[in-house]
Amino acid sequence: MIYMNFQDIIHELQTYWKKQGCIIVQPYDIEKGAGTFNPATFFGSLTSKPTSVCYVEPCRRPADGRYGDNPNRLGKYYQFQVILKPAPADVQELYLNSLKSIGLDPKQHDVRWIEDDWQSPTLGASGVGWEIWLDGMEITQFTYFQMMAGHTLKPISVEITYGLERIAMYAQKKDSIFDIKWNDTTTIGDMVKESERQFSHYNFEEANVDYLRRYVAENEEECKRLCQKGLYLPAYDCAMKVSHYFNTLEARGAISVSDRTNIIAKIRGLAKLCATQYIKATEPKEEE
Amino acid sequence: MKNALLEIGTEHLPARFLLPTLEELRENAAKILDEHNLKFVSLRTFGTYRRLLLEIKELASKAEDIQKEVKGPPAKLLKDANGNFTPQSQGFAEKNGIAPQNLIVVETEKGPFIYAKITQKGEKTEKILPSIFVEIIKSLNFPKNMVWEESGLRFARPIRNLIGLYGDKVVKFEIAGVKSGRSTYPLSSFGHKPIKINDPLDYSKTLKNQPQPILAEIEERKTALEKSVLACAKNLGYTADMDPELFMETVAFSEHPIALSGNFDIRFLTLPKELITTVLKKQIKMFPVLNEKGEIQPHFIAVRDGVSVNQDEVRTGFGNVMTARLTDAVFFFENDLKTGLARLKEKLASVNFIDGMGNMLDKTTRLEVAAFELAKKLQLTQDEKEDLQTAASYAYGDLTSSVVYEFPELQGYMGGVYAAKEGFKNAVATALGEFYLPLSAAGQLPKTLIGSLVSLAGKMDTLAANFAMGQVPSGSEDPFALRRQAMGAVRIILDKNLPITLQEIIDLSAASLPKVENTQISKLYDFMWQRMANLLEQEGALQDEIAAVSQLKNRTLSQIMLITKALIAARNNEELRNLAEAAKRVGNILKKAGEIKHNINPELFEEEAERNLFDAFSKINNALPPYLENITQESCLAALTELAKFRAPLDIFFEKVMVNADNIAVKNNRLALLKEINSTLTRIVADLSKLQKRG
Repeated sequence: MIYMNFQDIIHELQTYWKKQGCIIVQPYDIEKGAGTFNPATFFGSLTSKPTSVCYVEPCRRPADGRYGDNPNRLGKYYQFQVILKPAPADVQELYLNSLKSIGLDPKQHDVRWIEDDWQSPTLGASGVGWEIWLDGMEITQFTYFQMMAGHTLKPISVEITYGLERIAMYAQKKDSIFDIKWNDTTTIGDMVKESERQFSHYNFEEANVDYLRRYVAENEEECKRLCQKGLYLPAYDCAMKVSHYFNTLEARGAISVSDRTNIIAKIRGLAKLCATQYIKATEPKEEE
Repeated sequence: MKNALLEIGTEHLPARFLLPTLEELRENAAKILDEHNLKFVSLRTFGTYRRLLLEIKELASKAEDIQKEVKGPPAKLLKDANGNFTPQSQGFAEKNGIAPQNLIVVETEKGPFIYAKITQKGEKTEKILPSIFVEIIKSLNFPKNMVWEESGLRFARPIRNLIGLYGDKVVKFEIAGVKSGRSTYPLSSFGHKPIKINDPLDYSKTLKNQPQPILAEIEERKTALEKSVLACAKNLGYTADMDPELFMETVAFSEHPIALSGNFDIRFLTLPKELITTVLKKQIKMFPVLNEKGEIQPHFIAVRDGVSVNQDEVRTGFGNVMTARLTDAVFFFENDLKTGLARLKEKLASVNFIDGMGNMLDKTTRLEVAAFELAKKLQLTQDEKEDLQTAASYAYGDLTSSVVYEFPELQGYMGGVYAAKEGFKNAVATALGEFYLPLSAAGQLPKTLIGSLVSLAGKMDTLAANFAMGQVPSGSEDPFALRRQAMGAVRIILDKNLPITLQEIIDLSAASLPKVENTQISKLYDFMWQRMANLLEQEGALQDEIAAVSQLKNRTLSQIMLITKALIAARNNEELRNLAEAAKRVGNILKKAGEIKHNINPELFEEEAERNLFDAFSKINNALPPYLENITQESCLAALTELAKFRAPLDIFFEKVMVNADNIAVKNNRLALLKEINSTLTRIVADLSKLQKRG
């Protein structure tokens, strides 16, 4: 196995997928819980227009933060995502070759495709696919999207999500995320430990519940208002904010069980509103 | 006749789909070939999670000719007055390609009609096999389907390769943009270099002879897996836990299983055994290693698919994952121990049970009340009472533990472990460990009395609460697995021979539920009775025998079981069977008569036959009670034999006596006698009028 720094893994994946014709999109600058929220994926998967993109996406999961103490957990981490539409017939092979590009030769390791049908109740999205285990460790989520924001998709996109920290821990033989070498001189710990500590403190103890509730409510209204004006892109930004601040409220312990179901349904409703507007604006009219 | 082969090459199917799909493929293929009148000597299916194979031996070279009779005009139009074929019959004959002389006349319900007997020529196999293969592929149903390409075909996972062979020729067809050929492909990680299949029967052999062999035959993979895992275990000096579920899952999700062993740190052995094995089997799909006493050892056996290079690095990888998972488990376990059952129990307040029925802490409180009542009802000793109360109090405690959050299948077991660690009495810890048993309709029951009672109370509360909220299972809809819970409750009552009727246990559990509108709790009795009936059927009872005991609502379930067994044992007692006929007659007469208020007055008997019947009634009624004090199967049988004595006097009564006498007083007296007899025949042991005569 070739030793690679964290930044080299990202670089090699980008180079590999660039060669396959992907646009290297940059991260979208709003907090989100998963790469799938990136508009390139959310809107990109919705219409008939072919698309091939890849990007690194920071994901924030307030409840997963552990003050930088747990070697396996981060409140903010990175996914590398590839979206291909329509799904190429050799996409499994393309994926396996991408592993080779980061020094993991599938012929030398145990690569398992374990049934795992992804879904996101918040986005009203679901797909069929696998989690992929490399020598027992889950390194990738591989999904053929079937539905996004309540819309049945055609053509079908395939989404490949690499867990970058997992891959790096494996490649660098580290027991702790914080020991992963970002480059030759700097570790992830050097870069994020303080931020993990502060954000955990904020998310679990300091986040202003009243303010966040208000913020969630305001963004919800704003999303609906903007959709009515056909401004689905800023509207979708609002939906993402609702989602993130809902996650923060949940980490703060301010969400009851029934609240949770209701808010998730609300966010799903917002996502659907944005998606419907987008389809209306971009798709040629289909005969009813 | 030639052999044929169909391969459906897919991306990795979910392991759990493989065996059911191969079975379905076999059944559907046989059915579809039959529908197309294509004869074959045999067919079979095999394959892996990336290739489904159908092999047909000696498939006919053409479909069978079939004889058909086509209906034509009415027979009177066959010939005219001169004996010549009419234009109608000639036209009909021509349309069907036969001479008018060959037309026949057949009698039908609507009178005689002209028929043409024709032979439909079977088509050549080469011509129809492509569409038959397509039909077979499209006939497959999966628990979950997907779409991946333009045509919108629904299948479990994308189809990426197709082989169609008839003899040495390719059967050409196309599905979901894939064209059939004669080549398959190697192991998943080895690209798509085609492997040519020359003969339909050569598939398995060809794949086994590849540089990276693939075992397409399930039996060969089973053998390889077993050998390989056991060899690893033997090298370590131990044996392996060949969990059947994990074993078959591994057979299904590998094309060539090759085992590899490794070690984990001995410090993890302080974890409860089930926790370690669950991490191994469920989370990382590895086989635990055991010594001859069945104790877990600090090793694991993992299975690779088809490759055994770079073993050390892969072993290290598996080992690291294992260490990470077990470290998590230690963290969760220690966390839970620190929290303690009392705090864990408090947290139940934030776990919802079902809407309208409170949270899990409310449920626990109800369980405590039910346990108290149950202890009273069953006259438990003071010790037993206390143990039952404590067990009820902590029964759901482990639900909020970190370990059960991570491994839901360990619920109950962990409660038992934590209780033991905290120094609870053995009886309590064991009861907590048994709380969720039985896990399936025929699964293992709780062994201890306390475990049985707390488990029963838990199930009954779930059932009563769901029914009260109108969540009554219907058809295949049973999201809370209420059928299984009801079956568990009934089996526990029977197993521990609890002196309680079905209605009593239902009432006891329903008593502490919150009051709700539109409760459907009244449906619970029948629902649970249905489970009881299933068990009676398993004991060999026939439907009429079950009907005969179904209204014994004052009997405990154990008594009902004994009575049923006596009925089964008395099945060949002809007196009893004949008596059933008379009993039915008694019932019918009483039904017509309406309400009967009179008592029997022996003075009013006129006929000898009715006096004899009354004597028999008195004798039998006096003889019965001793048999029914402490019911056993033998005493029930004796009681049935006693009851059979009714047969002769009752038959003679019906022969000689007119119930509906002109004298109203005499008539009413006769009805009064029949009413009492009816009560004895239908309620004392069982409802004998429900028994059927058997030829």
